[in-house]
Amino acid sequence: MLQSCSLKQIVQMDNFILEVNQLRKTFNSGSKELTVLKHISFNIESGTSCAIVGPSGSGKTTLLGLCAGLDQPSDGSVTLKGRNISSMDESDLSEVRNRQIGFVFQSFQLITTLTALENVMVPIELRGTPYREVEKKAIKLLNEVGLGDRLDHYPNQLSGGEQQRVGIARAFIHQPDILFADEPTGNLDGETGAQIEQLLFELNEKQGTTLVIVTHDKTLAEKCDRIIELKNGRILTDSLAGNGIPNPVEATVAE
Amino acid sequence: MKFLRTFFSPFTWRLAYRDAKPQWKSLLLYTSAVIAGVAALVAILSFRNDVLLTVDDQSRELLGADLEFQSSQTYPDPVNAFIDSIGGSNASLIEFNSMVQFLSTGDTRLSQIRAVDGPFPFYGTIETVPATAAEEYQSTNSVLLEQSTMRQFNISVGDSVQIGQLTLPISGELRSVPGESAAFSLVGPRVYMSASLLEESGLLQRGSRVEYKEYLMLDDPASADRLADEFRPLGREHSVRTETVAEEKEDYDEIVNNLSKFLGLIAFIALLLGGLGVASAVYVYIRRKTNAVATLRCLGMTSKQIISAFTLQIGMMGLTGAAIGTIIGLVLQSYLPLLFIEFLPFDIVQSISVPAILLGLFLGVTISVGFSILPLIGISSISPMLTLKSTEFSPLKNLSSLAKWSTITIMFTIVLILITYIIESFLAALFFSGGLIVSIALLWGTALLLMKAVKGLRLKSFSYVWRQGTANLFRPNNQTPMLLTTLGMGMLLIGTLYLSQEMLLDRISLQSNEDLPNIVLYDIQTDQNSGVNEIINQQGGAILQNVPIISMRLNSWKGRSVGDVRSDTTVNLSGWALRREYRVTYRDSLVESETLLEGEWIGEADGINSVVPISVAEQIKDDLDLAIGDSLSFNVQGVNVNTVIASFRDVDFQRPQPNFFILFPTNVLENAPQFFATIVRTDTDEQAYTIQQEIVSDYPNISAIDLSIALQSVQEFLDKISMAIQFMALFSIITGLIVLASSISISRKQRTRESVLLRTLGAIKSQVTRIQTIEYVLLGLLATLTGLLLAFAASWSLAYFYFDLAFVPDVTAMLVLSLVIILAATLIGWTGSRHIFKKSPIDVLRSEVG
Repeated sequence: MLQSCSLKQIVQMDNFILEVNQLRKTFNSGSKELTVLKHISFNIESGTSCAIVGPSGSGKTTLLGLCAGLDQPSDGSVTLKGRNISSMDESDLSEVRNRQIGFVFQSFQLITTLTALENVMVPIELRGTPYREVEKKAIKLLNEVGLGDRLDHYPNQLSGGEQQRVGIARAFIHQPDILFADEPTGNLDGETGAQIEQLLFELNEKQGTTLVIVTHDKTLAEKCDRIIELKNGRILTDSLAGNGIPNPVEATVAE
Repeated sequence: MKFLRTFFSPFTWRLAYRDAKPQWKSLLLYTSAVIAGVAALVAILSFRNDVLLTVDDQSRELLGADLEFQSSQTYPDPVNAFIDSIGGSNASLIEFNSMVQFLSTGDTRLSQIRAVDGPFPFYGTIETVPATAAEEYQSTNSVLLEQSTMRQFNISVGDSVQIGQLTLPISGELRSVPGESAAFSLVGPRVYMSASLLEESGLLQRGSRVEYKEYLMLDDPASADRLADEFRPLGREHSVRTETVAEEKEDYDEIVNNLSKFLGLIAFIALLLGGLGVASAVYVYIRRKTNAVATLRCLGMTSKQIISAFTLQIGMMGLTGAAIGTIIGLVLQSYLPLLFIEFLPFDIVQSISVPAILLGLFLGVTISVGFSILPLIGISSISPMLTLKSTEFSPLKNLSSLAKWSTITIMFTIVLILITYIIESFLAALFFSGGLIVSIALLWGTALLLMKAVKGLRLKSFSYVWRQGTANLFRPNNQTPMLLTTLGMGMLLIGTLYLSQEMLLDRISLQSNEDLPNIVLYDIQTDQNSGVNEIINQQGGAILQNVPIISMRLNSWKGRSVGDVRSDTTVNLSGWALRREYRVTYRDSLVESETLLEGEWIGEADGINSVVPISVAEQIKDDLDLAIGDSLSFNVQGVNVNTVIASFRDVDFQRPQPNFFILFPTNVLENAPQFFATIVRTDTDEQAYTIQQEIVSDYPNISAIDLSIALQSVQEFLDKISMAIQFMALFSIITGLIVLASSISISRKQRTRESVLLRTLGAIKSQVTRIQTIEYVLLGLLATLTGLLLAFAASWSLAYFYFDLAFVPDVTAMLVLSLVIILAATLIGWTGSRHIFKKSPIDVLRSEVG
């Protein structure tokens, strides 16, 4: 399924959907300044899958948020499909999130007052697409994720796994260029989590979306084309899945 | 423009609807806080509309004629000639106060005598029992007597009354007179008799205050205004006033408008408190939606779209709440006349007032949305990052100060505009809004102080249920300060009203003060004076004052004739002060109720032909633009007396004794035609009763005011007025209770979770119930304390600075009111929390995991 190639070869390719350049993020914690991310740089090729791993506090979630345009860096830039999203205004960012980005969350983040169908419909309804068309698409996708008979159920009427399926359907409905998943199986048991993983990769392959997953799960990480390991806000290793070859680029970047 | 486009986009409406659908009951409860305020406002405005329409419809009945002439003296020939020249039909009425003795019981009452000659009223009818009595009393030389008085003294038709020298039979119970409300009878029972009997009665003596009225039914009613205008110069010259139907209607319209503005403001307070309740509920609602908002931001929704959707929800629910309030208001409209029945001289014709309904709906929505602006714009501070990092996030805390203050300014402006619209005065609205904000701020501050005090209490010696019940008031997302403020405001309004009313009555109450009189006798003629004094002494009464009174009118002012001054438009003096009949007295010293302010008091003059040094009350100094040394001349029963202003006095006119604007020294008026007023102190009510009975028997023309009865009448009058105001203020309490219900609903999940955890840890049902009961009782108690403390402070200020009284609050009444509020709060709490035992622990804990 996954073709291994040298990191150098990947770096040299110019089909990058995501380009992260010298990214830095600091927070004010009381009177101190806390630097969560320190000069992170990497690029992700379109259509690939990449896992971001690391211990708690390594900056994974912060990195994910910055790459997804959910937050602004203190320094550096994030370019998505050639557009610098780190300096965009909120209005443009909203458009980018709606058209180019999909999200899958650890805690599902379904709107509790909308049904499964309504939750899935939101991203393309926002574009003003006619209702019937949206509904048709959403029903099709929910059928694909195995929830064709739960369209009118509210989140509190669904199990964890079912809620995450809805989350995945919502993330894919608008055919995003890149999908960010934050611990997508973190709140699920092993068996359910495996099912979700499979679903995620199947849809991803089908749509050719670039996938970026933040995870603790080594097994999940190894399913990806690439693993970036963070520690203390820096990239510790950047390797293809299974090789564990330290990224020679990192040697010159690391302090 | 962009916001409007977003607001009206189909998806915004769809999302607002979808999101609201499963939780519409909760949303409705959040905005239901406006229901009571809208109901009160719609009721008042609809009632106002009804009264104005009725006045419009029955305006001629209000006057009973097309044109009325009125004077405190008999009409001179030119006036009579003018009246005669008008044509049409006329009737005359002579009105004055006099003692009436009910022969079947021996009781006496100071009554309003109306001596009628002619078919008055021309429009409307005097309602009597039997109905025919109104047509016949003049021809049968009988009287119509106030129905309530007849019931009070167990008098029947056919019994007799003594009026002056005459004994007359009662031919009918007087129920209503066109243009007069039942409250008129509080002043004294009305008695209608034929004017032909007046001379024989011997009632009209020197000193009697009489109003002479002439009523005309015109051949062309539309000419009334023109005739009044034509008469004006003549009227001014001879002190005769006119009243037309249009003027009467205008007066009523003004009274009704002022009353409805006043009551409308009180109702608006309830609406405003409702707005605060909505704001508080919406704040908690938005806070709960933080996750959902962050998710929607991740999906590409802009802040504007999300704010639009929630604004739409709040607006729609506000509209629904306003609609419910409007319906309740329309129902109340039919009961409001009962509050004012004593003061309305007609039966109200009720109708649906579309403007009142539309205004109610508009206000409900505006207040709901207006007060939600701040929590709504807090949405813009919710970052999509919160989907990844869940922290305790407060939307408001992250707003900039500029955003907060701008929003608060907009909210204040909205309130100001609405109040201006209700009371039609920007300045008054500004003062009222400012006062309201200060009151709310004081209530909020008091609430916080009380909460701090409770929180700081060391309750370790108390059982767990007490400690937990108390701690529940401070649970996260609690609305305790808001609840204390809204419930407290109702308590503040009603408490202050009640305590002020009690103080007003205390101020004029004489029962507890040994030095003050309990009877005032007046219209005592010179040859009756010694006889009256003898009766008083024989019955053991103490004569506190025996005061001679002389009537006179101003002849000239600072050397210029009064007529000349009145027609000089450059001189701005009070017409009332120039025209009036002055009742003056003479003595050699000032009395207790008088304080010399300026000049010198001269107790004796050099005779009536000298320039007499007089003292003038400060209260009319500006009306006549007087200074020390100015000259006035008076016509004393045909004799011109020249005076000079020697001093100004401050007179306490609130004292129940004869007080005078003009005071002469001795050696001037001793020989002038005069009558006497005597103020008497008796030890017992029986003595007072006997004295009055004997005096009226021997001297029927003498009037007696029994101050205890007068006090009773005032009390009754105040009770009736305050009932209407308290009824409106009640809506504030109702709003507070609705906000409480809403707050309980908002924290429903939290309470359920707490209860479940307690039960999981081993608490039994009764313990959980007691914890909740303690919480609600404390809430009600703190709320009443919040309002009471401020009500006491406000009442104490009134007592100290205005009434000059020691403040002794009616603790019992306040306790009863407090208990009612505490009970209501507890009942609502129980009702709202009855579900928590329905949920099994496993259901709740499972739903936590998601």
